[in-house]
Amino acid sequence: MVPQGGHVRDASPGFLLGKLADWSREKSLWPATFGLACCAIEMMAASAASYDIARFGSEVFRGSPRQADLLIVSGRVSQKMAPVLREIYDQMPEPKWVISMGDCASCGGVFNNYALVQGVDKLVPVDVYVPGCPPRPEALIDGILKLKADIGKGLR
Amino acid sequence: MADYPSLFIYLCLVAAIVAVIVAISGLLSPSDPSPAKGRPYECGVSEPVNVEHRWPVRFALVAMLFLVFDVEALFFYPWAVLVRELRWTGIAAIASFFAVLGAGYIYARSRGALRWR
Amino acid sequence: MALAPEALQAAFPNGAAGLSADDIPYILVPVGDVLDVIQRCRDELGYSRWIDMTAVDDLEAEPRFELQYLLYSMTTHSWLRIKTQTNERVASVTEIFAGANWYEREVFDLFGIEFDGHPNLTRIMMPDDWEGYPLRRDYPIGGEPIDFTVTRELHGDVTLRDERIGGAGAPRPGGR
Repeated sequence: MVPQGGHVRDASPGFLLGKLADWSREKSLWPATFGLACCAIEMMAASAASYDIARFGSEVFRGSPRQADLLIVSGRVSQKMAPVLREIYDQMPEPKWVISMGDCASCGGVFNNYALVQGVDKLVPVDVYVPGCPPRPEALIDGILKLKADIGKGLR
Repeated sequence: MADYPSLFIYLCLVAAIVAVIVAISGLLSPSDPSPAKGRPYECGVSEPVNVEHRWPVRFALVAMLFLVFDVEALFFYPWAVLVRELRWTGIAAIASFFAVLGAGYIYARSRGALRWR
Repeated sequence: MALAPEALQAAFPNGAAGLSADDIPYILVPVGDVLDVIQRCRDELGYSRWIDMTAVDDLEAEPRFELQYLLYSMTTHSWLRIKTQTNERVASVTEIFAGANWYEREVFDLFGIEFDGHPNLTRIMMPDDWEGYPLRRDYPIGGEPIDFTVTRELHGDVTLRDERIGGAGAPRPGGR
C-alpha cells in the first residue's frame, strides 16, 4: 500500500528565494513529538545533553504537528495507532518529512504479527529509514543529518 | 513630551518588516489544504468520541468559585499599586470588599463546597 | 506469611488447592463459585488488594480457558491466586474489586471470555471493529510472509509459507 501523493513541494519561487528556503528549512528542522515505544527513549537521548540535536537546529520538539516539519516515527505502530499516525501526518503543514526510526517503524521489526503495522511506509511516505533496535542516538543523528543535507540541496 | 515622529517611524518599520516576512512566507510556502488540516488537533483522534457518560458537577462548582475569587484577586492589584495615594479610606474600602467576599468564602467552606469528595 | 495450601483447602472445600511454581498458593474453584470465593478471600482471608487477572487457553483441555486471579494481602504481605476454568463466560468481579474492570475487558478483548455483570464489556486493546480474539491458540499470528535469501536454502521455498502466518493470499483476520 503506497500512500498517495508523497510530500508536496513548493512551486518554484525563484532561484535565490528557493535557495534561501532550502537553507532555512535545513538549518531549522523541528520535529514533532511522536515517540511511540523504546525508540522514543533513544530519541529523547538524542535530544538530551549528551548527543543534542539542538545543535543541528532541532531545538524544540513541537507538541502540535501544526508547528513541526519533521515527523520522527519512533517505535511500533499498532493497528489501533495507525489512523492516529496518519491524522497527525496529515495535520502537518507542508513542507514535511518523515524519518522512520527503528526496525519496528521501518518494517515491523521483530513483531511480525496481527497487532502491528509492518512498516510505517504503508501509512505515510518515508524519507529516511534509520535501522536499529533501537538505533543509537548517533544513528538517529546520522539519519537526521542525511535528511538535512538532502533538504539543503533541494532534493526533498 | 513624547517623541511622536520617532514612534511613527518605528511603527512604519514594524509594519514594513512584518509585511516583508509575511510576503516571503507566502511566496515560499506550499499550499496544500486538506480536510485533516481543517480539523482541530486532538492528538490524532479528531473524530467525535462518545461522551455520553456524565461529569461530576463538582467541576462546574470549582470553576465558578475559582472565577469569583480570581476576579476578586484581580481587583486587589490596582488597589495595591495605589495603596499609598488612597490612604486610609482606600484601606477601608478594600477591607469592606474583602469582608463581603470573605463572608462568601466562609459560607462556601462551611457548606463543604471546597471538599472534593 | 503466605497461606498454606492446606489452610486454603480447608477454607474452600469445593476447590483444589496447590502451590504454583512461583511459590504462590492457588485454589482452583468451579466457575460458578468465583464471586463467592473472591468475596471471601477479600473479606475473610484479608486479601484485599487486586493485583492481576489473566487467562490461559489450552485447546486440548475441557473447559478450554483457565482464568487466574491474583490478589495480595497488605497485612500478611503475601499473594493468593484463584483459578477457574470456563469455556465462554464467567461472572464479573468488578463489584468486589473495582480494579478488575479493565483486566476483564482485556481478557474479553483477547480471549473472548464474557463477563456477566461487567459495566462496560468492550474491546480495550484491539481496535473497536476488530473481529476475532487474538490470544486464542487457534488465531493465526498474522503479519506478512518473510523472504530472506539466507533462508531459501533452508526452507527450499521462496516465501515462508507457514499456515500460522497469514501469507499473501490468506484473509487477514480483523478485516484490515
